[in-house]
Amino acid sequence: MSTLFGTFLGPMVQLTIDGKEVAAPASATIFDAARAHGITIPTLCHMQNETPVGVCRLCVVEAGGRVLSASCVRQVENGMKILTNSDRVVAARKTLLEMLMADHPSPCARERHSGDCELEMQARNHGITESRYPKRYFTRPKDDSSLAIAVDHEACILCDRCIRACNEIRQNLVLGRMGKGGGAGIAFDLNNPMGESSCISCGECMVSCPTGALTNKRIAGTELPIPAGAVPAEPEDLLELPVFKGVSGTFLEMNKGAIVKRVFNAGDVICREGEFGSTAFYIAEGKAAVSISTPMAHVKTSGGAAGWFSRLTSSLTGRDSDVRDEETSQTYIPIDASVDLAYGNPVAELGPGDLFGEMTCMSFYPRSATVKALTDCTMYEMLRNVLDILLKNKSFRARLGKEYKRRALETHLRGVPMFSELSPDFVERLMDNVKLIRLSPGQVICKQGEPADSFYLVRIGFVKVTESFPGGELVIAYLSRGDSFGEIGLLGAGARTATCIALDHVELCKISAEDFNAMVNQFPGVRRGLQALADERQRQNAERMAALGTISLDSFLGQGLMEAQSLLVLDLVRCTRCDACVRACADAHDGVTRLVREGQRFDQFLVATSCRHCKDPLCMVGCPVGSIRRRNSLEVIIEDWCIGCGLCARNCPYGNINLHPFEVMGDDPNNPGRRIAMVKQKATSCDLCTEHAEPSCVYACPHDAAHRVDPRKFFAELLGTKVV
Amino acid sequence: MRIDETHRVWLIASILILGAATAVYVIYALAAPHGPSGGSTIGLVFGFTGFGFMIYAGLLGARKKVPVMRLGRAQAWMRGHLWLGLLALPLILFHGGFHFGGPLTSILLWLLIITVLSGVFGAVLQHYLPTIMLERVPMETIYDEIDRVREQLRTEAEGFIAELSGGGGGGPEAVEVAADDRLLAGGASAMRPRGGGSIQYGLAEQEIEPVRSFFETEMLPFLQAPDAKGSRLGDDTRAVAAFTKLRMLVPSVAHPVIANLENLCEEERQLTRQARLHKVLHTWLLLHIPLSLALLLLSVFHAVIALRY
Amino acid sequence: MPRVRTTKALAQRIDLNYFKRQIPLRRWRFWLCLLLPLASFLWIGWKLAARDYRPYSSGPLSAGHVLLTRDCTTCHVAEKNAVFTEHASDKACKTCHDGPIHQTIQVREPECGSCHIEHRGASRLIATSNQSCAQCHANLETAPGSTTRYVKTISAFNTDHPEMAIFRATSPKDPVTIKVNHYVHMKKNLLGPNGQKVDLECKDCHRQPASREAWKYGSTEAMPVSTPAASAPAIKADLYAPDPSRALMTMPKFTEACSACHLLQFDKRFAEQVPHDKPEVVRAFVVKKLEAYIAAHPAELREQPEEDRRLPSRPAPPAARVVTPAQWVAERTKEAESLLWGKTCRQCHSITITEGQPLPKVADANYTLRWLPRARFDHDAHRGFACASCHPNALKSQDSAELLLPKLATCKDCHAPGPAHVESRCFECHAYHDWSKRKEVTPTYRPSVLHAQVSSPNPPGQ
Repeated sequence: MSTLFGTFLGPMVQLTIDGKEVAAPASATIFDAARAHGITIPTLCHMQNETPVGVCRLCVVEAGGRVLSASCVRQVENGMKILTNSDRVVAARKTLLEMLMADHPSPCARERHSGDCELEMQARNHGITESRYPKRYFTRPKDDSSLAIAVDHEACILCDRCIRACNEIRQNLVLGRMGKGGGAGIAFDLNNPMGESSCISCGECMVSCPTGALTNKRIAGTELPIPAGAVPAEPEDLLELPVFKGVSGTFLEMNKGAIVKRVFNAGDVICREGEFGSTAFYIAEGKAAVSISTPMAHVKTSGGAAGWFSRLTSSLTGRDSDVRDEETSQTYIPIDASVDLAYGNPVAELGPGDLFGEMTCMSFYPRSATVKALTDCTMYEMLRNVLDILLKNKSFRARLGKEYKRRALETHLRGVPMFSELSPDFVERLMDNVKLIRLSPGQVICKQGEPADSFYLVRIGFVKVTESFPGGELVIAYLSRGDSFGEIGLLGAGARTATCIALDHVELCKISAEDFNAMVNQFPGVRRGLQALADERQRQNAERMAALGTISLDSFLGQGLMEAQSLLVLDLVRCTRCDACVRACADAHDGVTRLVREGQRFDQFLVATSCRHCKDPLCMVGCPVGSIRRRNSLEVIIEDWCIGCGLCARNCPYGNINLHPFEVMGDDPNNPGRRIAMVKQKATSCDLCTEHAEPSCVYACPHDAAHRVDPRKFFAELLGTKVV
Repeated sequence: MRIDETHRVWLIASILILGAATAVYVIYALAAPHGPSGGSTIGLVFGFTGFGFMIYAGLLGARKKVPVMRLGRAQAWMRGHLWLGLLALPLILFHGGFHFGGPLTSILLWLLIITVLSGVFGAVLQHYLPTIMLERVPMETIYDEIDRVREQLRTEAEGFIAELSGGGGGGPEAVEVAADDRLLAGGASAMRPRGGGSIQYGLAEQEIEPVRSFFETEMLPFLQAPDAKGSRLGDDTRAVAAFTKLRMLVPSVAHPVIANLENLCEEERQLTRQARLHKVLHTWLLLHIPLSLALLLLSVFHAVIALRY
Repeated sequence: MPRVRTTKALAQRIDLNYFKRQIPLRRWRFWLCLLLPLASFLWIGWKLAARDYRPYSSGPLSAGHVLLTRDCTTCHVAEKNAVFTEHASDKACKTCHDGPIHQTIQVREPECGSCHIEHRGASRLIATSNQSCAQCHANLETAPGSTTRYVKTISAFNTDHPEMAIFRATSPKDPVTIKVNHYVHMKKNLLGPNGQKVDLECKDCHRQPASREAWKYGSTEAMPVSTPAASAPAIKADLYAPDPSRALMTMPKFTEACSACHLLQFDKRFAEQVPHDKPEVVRAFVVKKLEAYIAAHPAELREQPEEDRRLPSRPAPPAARVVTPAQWVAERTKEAESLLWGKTCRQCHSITITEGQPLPKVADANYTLRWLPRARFDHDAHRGFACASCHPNALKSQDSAELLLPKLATCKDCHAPGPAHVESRCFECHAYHDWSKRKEVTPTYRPSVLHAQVSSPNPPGQ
């Protein structure tokens, strides 16, 4: 018997448990002593690997005292007489269980999924089917914010296991207690939603939880289909990978279906741009080429107006036929990987340890590029919950964070001409000081008016920048991968001029104020560039704010006309429905019209379906390659590297963006080395024909019925407002 | 095109031109030895000027084929077309001295008269019909697409009935029209939000029987042939009566669906109205344009032959 | 759940290529735009191929040229040097017509087509406008070195047409030598033949030659036939009097108009009248008659004076004489002649008795048949009018030297421009071509209308 405890456990004591004489080390608890001798005492809050706390009181036994003792904390003493199943003990247990079951949302999540909710099992074992006590009168919330773990506070019995798991075992120090009395509960950080806390989804709390309070979150309806040549990744194999070090094995076991191991041969296409997906890839071995194979060109269809002898025989026009005067020299295209693609030669390489497809996996955006294996590769394809675990894993962050920072600083920071003069030393220094921070959807990065303390680069995700004004909030911009913000506050008065919110899963490189100031002081060129950018942004903001007015008309707003900066209105009293505007638009855009003569009416005008160049451009959110962007704060344009995923078309609430198929010659996947005609898509929208003085539709209307107008000025009389 | 104050310059210029031409003609006609004739110098000037105006008027069609080329705004061309085209008639009458002449010249003058008058008629139409369409067809769509929209309405109506009887099912499926060559705006058609129709009406079969039978006997034939006479639903008043009666036969929980059906029939009726009005607005072009082309062609012949002989 | 009607939902119902498709309206427009010009093109082409130029005709041809309707090339021939035009030139006209020149001294000769306008329908080709004449006559010029007696400026009849030339003379008068007092003759209740009272009418003296009406006041008995020299001059038929039998009035003949009242008795012994002839004929007649009488009544030779009933203081009458027949005839002739030459004949004629000349000289009548040698006047066309409506002076004229020709103003009452007036253009009275210089033209035209009927290849006329 003493061998059970080892020889180092010290002196033994003698006691009686349920009439049985046993000997146990003096430091042992009653529970352990009983268990060593084959007697199981039911518990809820006690876990073997955690320090016992004795909060549930289910393990109470008669120990000869006035009150029952919690066996998990009570140390054995010599000569104790323990009764683990006396009537009093059983009555106490039953009462406890009844009370707990009164509030328990039976059957809880765990009971439903795996039938092994400890509380309910215990209740069943004790013959408790119904509780006589009323349920508590308020409902405790559910917390769905974490990607991996579902929290149901209703089912929580405050057993403290998760807290001990997180603090003692994993030492992540995320969980704690909060509140008191009936309002007591578990909290993540300072009672943040779990997904927004510092929880790294190791899963330890979940495997500790006896009930369905913390359960494994399954992505609804999916387990990863296992394609040919793939095997579900075994948790043991995964744990061998350095990036999974520190992740709870049980957790991985529970999420077994969510990550598969795939082997690709050289030349295999792993994913194609524009496809929708929900997985990310981690390259374990091998190299892959990532590229954009959609031609860099604008859509053109021939056979414009005379539909008589043409189907849609599309072709593409080179950039010079659609040149805009303000040509920003785009040097790179941001994609959903740790590299960016140079505009002139959109091909890059990914190697072992690289992760790609994050945005697709986390936020369900379309794939931003085509990945083809250069050598034979081994990759892990995972769903969102596993990615979340991976990304939050300390060792992963330690390894890859550095790479991300480097790439972010090099491509985004130095890739922008403004920052190009930064010296490599300075960049090295920055790298050490820069932090990568993760944000979940809706999280506020900075608030308008707060003191400015950092400068941010967006590594992944979309950030919404808004400014509040007397009438509400105005969206200034949507920033995505490669954009920077925060300089206005730092260069200016020191207070934030706008509120920045993460729209989806965002990762930012945060550069502190000292480093920022050092940067601008050391490199005057950078200061000038940033100042110019800041001034430009402020000027545009000032314009927008000044032009707002205080209009509130229901139908005007109801149609979203307030949002528009430029509307195409057709005066129905003059319009003869001759389609000259549509034909002109098609002619100006190589046979593809950007305008549809349908929509809702406002007064005597038809508000045509043609890009409204909204102040809050919802279309821009989510573009995987950042090709839909704004120019001069007015027109929204779609650049020629659009990969045709269609997200912007879905996002536009007015249906102003359309996708057009066209044929290109591409590599035949079935016959390598041969080319086959494939149908691809690109998105198009009205670009206000800026190369001309007047939009073509307005120019070509013979009855003077088409007008491109600023809605507030145009309808000012109607709305009874002053034109500002 | 509506004639409004933007035409003032053209109006004044036209009046001046007409006045000058009339003065010249009167003097010339009185002084001519054998009366005004097309072959005299002044007659030829009138003829060529009138022909020039006709050519300019004809070029509007060509201009519309290259709408993007910056050759002058379409409105300016249209105003020119209206006024110079109108002036061509008196000038040619002056050219011919108000005689019809031989077969070719008679045909030409008749062609010109009909063309100009049909143009005037069209211009007058354009002052009234768009407003009528604005008022009487609130649910207007694109004329070319009326048939297609009607298909979609039919499917929608069937969806309503399914919703009523099925209760669940999540509303109609998105229309699978992408199967053919045509290009749909934005990808799949999204007429209704998906998955929102899973309202459980909880109605028994016999309770919705009146609706179903109404749909099958009256509404479906109407939707399939909205222009056919004889259906109650083709007339606003009778349709309202029909639906009011239907509402009385069905429990009130189903009334929203019936309201939808009624609105759908209203839309069908409006589309019929739109088609009719559109035809009225555009049919005169079938006379105006071919005749003008024949006019131009024969005018060339006439000019050549008359100068030769 | 109510029906949604959002912009996106509406727009997504639409196929983006709808405007490239053909709908019935556009299809109809396309086909009509193709077919109608094509039809006109074909029509023109077909006519061209069939060499049928009738569509291009600018109007029907005049009545005289109607047969040429299908033979446009008869007139529309290409001139030698013309590059493009095929006008109907003078050359074409002259293949059938001769158009003699108007005046040799005219400065320019207008083209046939400038005055004779074709393709104006069945009007007369001759009906040229005043401008055709006025192009020269409005400002008349003549060839260098020549002069003209015509007025320089004549543009139209109703405006500046000069008065008749005769009226423009310094003292216009009728050169006729027969004295007629129209006023006396037009009085009522004149003493007529057989003692009746008569009222004369214009037509009793003045008639068209073709008139077959009986002369009321002509002689009933056969009068000696006048010698041709004394007969009224004949009116030659020419362009201006194509039908002399109707256009102008004849000269009133004594035997037709005057003789019933104006008796030419010469002696009371005879009821007969002397012939209305030359003096020698009259004398011969008188002598013959007297000789025949005295031969039949020799008792007359003795001239018995009548009973003296004179007063006693008067000298005694001569004694009876016996004369020879010759003497008697001579005496009686002398008496008769003095009556005739002195009274009877002199009443109308201008007789000059010269000393030493046995017979008087009777002036030629000098009657003007045609007052307007260069204009056409047709009394027959004006037969609807009463003579006095144009010749009102005839009723009042007492002097035969008075011109009874109506002035231009009378013509202008009716001949004026305007709907209620008659033709007043130049061609109504004047002609351009001098037909006295007409040459014969042998036309070679054969109407295509007759192609099917004419079997012989030779054109008619040869």
